[in-house]
Amino acid sequence: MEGYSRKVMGCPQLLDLIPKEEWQVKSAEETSHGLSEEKKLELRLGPPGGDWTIKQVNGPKNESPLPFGYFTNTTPWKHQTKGTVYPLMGKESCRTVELQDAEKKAFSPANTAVPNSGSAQKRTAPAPVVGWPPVRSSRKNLANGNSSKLSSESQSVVPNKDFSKKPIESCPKSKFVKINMDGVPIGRKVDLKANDSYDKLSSAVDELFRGLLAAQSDSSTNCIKNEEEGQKAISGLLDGSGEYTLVYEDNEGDKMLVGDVPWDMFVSTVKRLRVLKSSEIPMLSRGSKPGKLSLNGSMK
Amino acid sequence: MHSFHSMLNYFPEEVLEHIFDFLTSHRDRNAVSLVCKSWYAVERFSREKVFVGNCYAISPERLIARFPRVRSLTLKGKPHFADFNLVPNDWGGYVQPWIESIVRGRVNLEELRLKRMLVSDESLELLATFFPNFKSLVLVSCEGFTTDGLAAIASNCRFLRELDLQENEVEDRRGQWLSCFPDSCTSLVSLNFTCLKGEVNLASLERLVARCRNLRSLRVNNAVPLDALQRILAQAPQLVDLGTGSFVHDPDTESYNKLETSMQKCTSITSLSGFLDVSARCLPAVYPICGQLTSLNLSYAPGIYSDELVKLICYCNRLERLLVLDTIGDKGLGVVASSCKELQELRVFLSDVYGIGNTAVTEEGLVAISAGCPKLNSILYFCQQMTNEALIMVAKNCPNFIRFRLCTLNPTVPDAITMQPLDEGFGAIVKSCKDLKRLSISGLLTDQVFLYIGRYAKQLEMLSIAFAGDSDKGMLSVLNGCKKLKKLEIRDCPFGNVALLADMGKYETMRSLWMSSCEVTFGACKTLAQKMPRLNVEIINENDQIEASVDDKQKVEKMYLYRTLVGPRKDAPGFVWTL
Repeated sequence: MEGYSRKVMGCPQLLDLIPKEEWQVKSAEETSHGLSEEKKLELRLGPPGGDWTIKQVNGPKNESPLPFGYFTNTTPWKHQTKGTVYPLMGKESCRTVELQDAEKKAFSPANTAVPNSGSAQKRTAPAPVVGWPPVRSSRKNLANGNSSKLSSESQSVVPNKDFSKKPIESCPKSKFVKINMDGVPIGRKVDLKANDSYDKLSSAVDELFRGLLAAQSDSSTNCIKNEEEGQKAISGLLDGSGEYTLVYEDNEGDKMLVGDVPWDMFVSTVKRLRVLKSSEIPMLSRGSKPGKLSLNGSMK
Repeated sequence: MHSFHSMLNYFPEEVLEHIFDFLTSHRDRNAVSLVCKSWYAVERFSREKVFVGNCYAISPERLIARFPRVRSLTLKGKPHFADFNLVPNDWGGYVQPWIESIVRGRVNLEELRLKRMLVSDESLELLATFFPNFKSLVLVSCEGFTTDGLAAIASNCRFLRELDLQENEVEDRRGQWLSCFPDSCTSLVSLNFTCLKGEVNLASLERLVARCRNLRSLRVNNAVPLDALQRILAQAPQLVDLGTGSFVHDPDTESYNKLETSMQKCTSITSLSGFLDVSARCLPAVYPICGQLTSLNLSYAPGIYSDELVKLICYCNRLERLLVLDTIGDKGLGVVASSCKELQELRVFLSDVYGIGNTAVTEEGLVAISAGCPKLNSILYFCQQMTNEALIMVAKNCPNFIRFRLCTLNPTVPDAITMQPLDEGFGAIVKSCKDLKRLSISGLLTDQVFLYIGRYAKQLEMLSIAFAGDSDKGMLSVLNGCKKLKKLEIRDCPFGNVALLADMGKYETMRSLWMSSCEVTFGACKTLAQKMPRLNVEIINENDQIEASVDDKQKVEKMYLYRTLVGPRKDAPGFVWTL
């Protein structure tokens, strides 16, 4: 798998994501235990400027504040292979770890002390790794509520060599939820992170469905599409004034009117959206109390 | 003095056959057929169920030649790591040649169970057309077929008893496959279509359930809403195993009240699953049957948090099998430990594969379970962290583990308290659990853990290793010590040629070996392939062209080897090279 260095003769064993020339320049510095200026500023496993000491061992329970993708605190180091005792932090067996391009490739290569070139290299996993954690595709995406769908990731996957493309932040950068509209058989998906306000959401709905809605009414009434007339905009979704109103289903399964709660709260609880005909919603008038809607039939 | 052997020869064959009828396990039957030639002959004509753990180990023709009366066939295809996207989809495992051979061999096939195989609609249609007595189709983790193939099965298998689809990738053709069951079909005992994404005709489903009075197991998919479920339950109170569809509804409605009533009448349900889409407020409908459940699977239920899970589970005093997400938390597992004293199997899955996992479970939950559930013998546990101390305690509390699979989110995480490797913890497990058959280890691990495994895990049949070990010694310890090892799968470990080639004969005693991102080279694989003609050594190389002049010193990305009686397979795709 790309990313694991093969044994590089004469160099300390590091993961191969650093071009060789660059690495060799640094290794000269590191073999001395003096600390260069650069070294002091590097992100390390130990305290800044210091080296590992045995005191580190009995530290507090590892809290690992960083998300799974960052293996800093928990990166293993190489033990001396021959001995049965494990001197945890023998000076010659530990080096500091560099984080390369932290915003792109978040991983810590394991430093290995290899007293003899015959012993094999300890592997660490750069994050994220193909096939880890070992979870079937059908179990991924449960958190997004797309649990009934098998993920398309189950297609044949070439190991992703460009780690910068993988999501490494703890929160996904997009939140796509399904949105269906009365009278339109095909649903769409809308990204609530890209459309990050009620107004933007409202415009997005108009964009997504205006054409589809027009096509529906054309086909159902069998009239010749008059392009000069244009398509009617979908508006008034949030205040009850339009022909359609936006509602959503939250994480408890309840149907709610969009717009009552602050946007962030809305995004954290919304599971799917629906554009209903305003005439179908009882008690829909400006100034009505915020609350649940009890609509007949379940939201599909 | 007559020998025992010749005394037995006085038994007519029918008597031997009758005795063999009592042997249901295929291993017993295999053992019996090795005793002597006459036993071999009697056994092979009387064998009706055949299990083939690797579809490429034998050819269908040879199987049918040996077992002409086979009625039930189980086949497994792709290696296990295919579940985690490590094996390309078209690697192989086609069922089509098997079905064609069975058709040609005029075998009276009644039952087909497939796992990780490629199944086409054409295969299903052949099955439906040529096997009028076909009774049972079980497909697990298969792909390549659509609902059209299912329609063929539904239409033509007049005596179908079981259609069980688990975790397959099925293309939905919107052909209303379920409506293809004719009105005359009343034989269904088990129907599971949870993994299908598309809609089914609800009226057809209800009518089907109504007329199949022997239906014991029904698992529907997410497209079946709660009110439909209620109508179904009203028709089938005899159900033993239920998989719900969408479990979302407004609890203040009549539909929901009716569901509660219908559920209460289902006094036979002992196994409950589904909940692919669920609202916590609907869960109370299930409370009346909790006390009778022995198996509960909530592992596909997103958004049900620990408190709600616990409210449900604390009623399930007879539970033997529980599958949940890690949203249950350590505290929730503590409640499980105090409520479910009969628990034998527990699986805790990741709820959020990419995230921080604040709700993830730790070693505390595992220890609590082990302390409270003495009958625990099988566990799959995805956790944030682990400690040796915890594992040692678990080993002490539960010496009966048959399956022990631990997976830490970070594959090389050390002991959370001592920062040591987890060697001692797993060592304690293998030492204590003398019947351990399956083991998956993870966390920071050195060669030491493999020394323990080799020394103590004498019954071990399947071992999964990732990101562990320091040297070839590790792998050698396992190969030398685990005499009953059948499947070994290794990824990202520093095991190389020395370990691979040390005992080549060992692989003929095993079903298969998988090694990916390790240190084995082409040269070593070629050597192995040359010396062991009864092994297929396959290299999967997705990126480079496979050329004859590959450097022997080059490391192999993915190697899969398995014993076989029929030589290299002819259906290997371009990126698979059999050496």
